[in-house]
This record gives sequence, structure tokens and C-alpha cells, in this order.
Amino acid sequence: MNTKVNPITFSTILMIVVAPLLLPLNLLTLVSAALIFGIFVMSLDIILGFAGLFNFAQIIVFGFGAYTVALLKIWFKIPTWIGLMLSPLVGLVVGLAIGLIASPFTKHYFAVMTLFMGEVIHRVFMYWSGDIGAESGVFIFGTDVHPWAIYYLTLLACLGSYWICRFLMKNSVLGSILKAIRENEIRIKFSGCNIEQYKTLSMGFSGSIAGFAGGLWSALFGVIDIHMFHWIYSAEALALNLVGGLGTLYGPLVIGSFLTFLKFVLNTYLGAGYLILLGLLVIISVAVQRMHSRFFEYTNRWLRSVRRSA
Amino acid sequence: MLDEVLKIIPQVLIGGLIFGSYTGLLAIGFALITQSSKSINIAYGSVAVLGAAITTYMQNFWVGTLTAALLCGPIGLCIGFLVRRSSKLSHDSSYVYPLAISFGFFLIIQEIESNMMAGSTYKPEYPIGGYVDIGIIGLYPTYTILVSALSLMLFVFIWFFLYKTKIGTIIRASFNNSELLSTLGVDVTIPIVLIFFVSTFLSSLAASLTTPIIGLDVERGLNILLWSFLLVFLGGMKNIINTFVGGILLGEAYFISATWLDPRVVEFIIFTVVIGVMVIRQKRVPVEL
Repeated sequence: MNTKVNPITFSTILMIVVAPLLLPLNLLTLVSAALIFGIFVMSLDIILGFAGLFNFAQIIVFGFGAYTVALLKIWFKIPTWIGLMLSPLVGLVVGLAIGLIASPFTKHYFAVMTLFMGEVIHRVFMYWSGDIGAESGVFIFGTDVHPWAIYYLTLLACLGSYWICRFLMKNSVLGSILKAIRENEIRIKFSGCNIEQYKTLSMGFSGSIAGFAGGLWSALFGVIDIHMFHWIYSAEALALNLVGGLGTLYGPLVIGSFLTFLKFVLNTYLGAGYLILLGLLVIISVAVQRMHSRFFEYTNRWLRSVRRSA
Repeated sequence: MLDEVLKIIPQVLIGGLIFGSYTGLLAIGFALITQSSKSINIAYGSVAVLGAAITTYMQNFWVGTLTAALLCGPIGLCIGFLVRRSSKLSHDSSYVYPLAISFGFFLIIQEIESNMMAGSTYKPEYPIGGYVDIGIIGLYPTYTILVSALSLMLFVFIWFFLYKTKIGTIIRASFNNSELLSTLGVDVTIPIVLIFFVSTFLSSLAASLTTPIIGLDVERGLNILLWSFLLVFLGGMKNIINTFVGGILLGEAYFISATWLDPRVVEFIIFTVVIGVMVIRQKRVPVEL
């Protein structure tokens, strides 16, 4: 009987069991926020890790998901639950739209093109945010969801999105074509495959996850501002992907959550310096050429040896 | 009405020429780096703005400018060395590793800058006061004209260096096919890393010198990157004259529309139009590095 325990499933079960015993409410919020950002980082892994494309516009999708929940609550008095259910759909639409524009580009051009688009959309929202009802886009709305509910929903989302992504990337045509695009784009093009379609599809898929993460973020805090569209968060997520290990899915999720939690701690005690740490980690991890993070390989090996001896 | 327009036109044309000359200079550095390493240096604008930020911190403008450029050159050298090393190391010809190196530097320098500037905007006074009387348009600040003349001179110098000297020929040959060149017994790494040093030095110099004219804030590094990329993409990477002329044309377009519209709206319109042009161009004539 195959009793292989997936590290993600294991840690999620651990957190479900342990969290009520240990965490006070304020720390719970931080842990939830870190996990939500981890989901967002993992959604980028589909594009960066499998298709091999730097997507700097992903934070736009996250912001749209967040604003969906907030604006539906403020304008139409729709409860947060329904907004949360709608946010993946909004993310899907926005992701597909970004994909439609950016999909003809390859490699470096894709990176700078998405940087362009993210910056344009961010500036549009900066200039006209006063017109949608709040100064510089800040909306304060009380959430009607209890933090514990958000916490468990986040854990569920972590597990669900991880398994869906893993299943899709391992078993579907989309996953294999994305890997082929990463390895040799021109060749897969010549073999008669419409790669632009697949790039767009993958961006829509990862966009729906990112949109849901954005919805969770705004449901957790009850406050959103225009800074949510800033490209620096995309850059952060890409860096976390590079540190966590490309194409592993669990690496970005775990490392993303952990380092984001570290960022909250660092911000309270030091004020700054998180991005310097992250940049150094990226440079080191690339310079030493360990893209598939060795750390997790060692952990897996250790787990296996422990199981064998038991 | 017509008289007013006729009066404004030469003013706007010269303004665009001046704006375009240093935009073009910044873009040339970007184009050289892009061609020599076959990878986009995302940290390019950030390093240039780091130089400008150091200059605003120094008391003396001229000493500060030189010091900043001399400090930023080694950073560029470091980026170039690591990018070159990572592009050599990767067994598949993956572009992710070199891009990730410059991306890491980008994050570090961006954080340093945002802590140095703390969200405020700097606009120091012109280090050289006084005005020059140009016949048609009247008075113009001496400093602005000097800076654009300097950038034109630097452009001519770069062109001469690349097209008329031996090391320039080697560098241009390494742009086309560095592997073939290295089999011919020419050491390619040193010219490529040198290009990184010189380009970063020049970009930092240009950013410091234009700070009294344009002003300095955290977003300017990204602005420099986007404008340079835009010029390189539209003007073509193989020919630096095209890039420079493209810079001047885009500067004209920016200045002409900025006379009647809000500059931020103009920037938005230019970016949107350029995205459209790039998408159409990419579908018809795909561009590769």
C-alpha cells in the first residue's frame, strides 16, 4: 500500500489541529495573511515555473479580486461570502484579458510587456481612484466573516489549489504543453500547436487562483487601498518563486508563506530590509544554481528515510 | 490662434529635442547591455536612479555626480559578471537565470532607494544658473542646453568608439555571435563586462545630470527602464543611431502633447499606444533577442 504523505497535506493537517491551541487572534490574522500571499505566489508558479514566463501583471489580478469583495460590499451591500465566491471568476476574466494582450510575446519581452501593463493599470487606478468614492482608493469596510472562518477557508484554499494545480500540471494537456513552451517555444509552435491559446488559458487559470487569494485578503482585513496594484508585490512574488523552487508548486507555497510571515515580523522590528534579504536570496539561489530548491529535496529524503526506519 | 501656435512650435520642438537627447542616451546604454548579454537588465533604471539619489545627498553637485557614477559603475560590473556567469552555466539556453540575477539586484537597489527617498520628490536647483537667448524662442536655461549638448557629444563618442575603433568592432561582433568570436581566439567576457561598466556609469551620470531638470522620485527607476525598453523595442536593437533618433522623436511626441494635456495623461496615452503597436508588430514581425 502506498502511504506516501505529501508535505503540503501533512502540514495543512498539522495547522488545522494545532492552530486553535496555540494562536492568539492577532497572530492568527498574520498567519492567514501569510498563507494567502503564499497562495498568490503559488499561482505565479504555473506561469513562471511551468511556462517559464515572468508575469509582472499578476498583482493586478490579485487587486481586482480584492476590490470585487470590497466594492460589492460597499456599493450593493452584498455579503462578503458571495463576493468571495465571485472573486475567482473576476480573476479568471482579468487573467484571460492580460493573457490575450501579452501572449504573442516571448521571454524577456513578455516580462517587460507585463511590467508595462501592470504599471499602466496601476497608474489608471491612481489617477481616477478619487472618482470611485474614496481618497487614493482606500476603502474601509467591516468584514462580516469571522477570522477563524477565513483561516480555515485559507487552509482549504491552500490545499485545494495546490492539488488542482498539481493534478492539472501533471496529468493534463495544458501542463505538458506549458512545459514544452518552457523548453523550446519555437519547436512546439512548428509542431502545429497554438501556443498563444495555451499561454492565455494558463494565465486565466492562475488568475482565478490569484483572484480568490485577493478576495480572501480583503475579506480578512476589511481594508483595501490602491497600493494593492503596485508592481513591487508582483516582483516580491516572483522572487519568492525563484527562491522556493520553480515548477515544484509546494516550494513557492511554503517558502512564500514563511518568508511573508518573516516580512511582517521584520517590518515591525526593523522597518525595512525585507526586499534586500529577498534579492540576496534570489541572487544566491541562482548563482549557486539550485533552482529546484535542494532544501525540499533533502526534506523529502529525510521523510522517506524516517518512514523506512519506522 | 495661428500666431500662438507658430510661436509655440519651435519652443516645443527644441524642448522635445532636449528631452529626447537624454532619453536616447539612457536608451543606448540599455541597448548595449541588452545586446551584449542577450538578456534584459531589469536593474538598469534602478542603478541609474541610485546614482542620482547619491548625488542629491552630496553637498557639491559635480563631485557628487562623479562619485555616484564611480560608485554605480562597479555595481554594473558586478551585475554583468554574474549575468555572464549564469548565462554560461545554464546547460539549456534558459533565459530565466540571467534575468533572475538582474531581478535580484533590482529588488535590493529598489529597497535601498525607497528608504533613501522615503516617498518624497527632490528637485534641486540648477547648478549652473543663467539663461541663454535663443533667437526664435527667447530665453532658455543654460544648464538644460549644456546637458543636452553633453548627451549629444556622448552619443557621438559612443558611435565613434563602436564603429571606428578595433575594440568597438570586437564588441559589435560579439553582439552578433559571441560563440563564434570566442572560437576565433578573442576573449569575449572582458568586452561584455566592460560594456556593463560603461553603460551603468553613463546612465548614472545621465540620471544625476537630469535630476535638476526632471526631478527625482522612487518611480523614476521604473520610468527609465520602461522608456528605454520602449525605444529599444521600437527603434531596433542593432543600430544605436536608430535608438537615439527614436528617443528624439518620442521626446518630441511627449513634449508636443504635454503642452496641451496633463503630463500623466500623456504618459498613459503613450504607453497604451505603444502597447498596441508592440502587440501588432509582434504578431506581424516577431522580434527576438
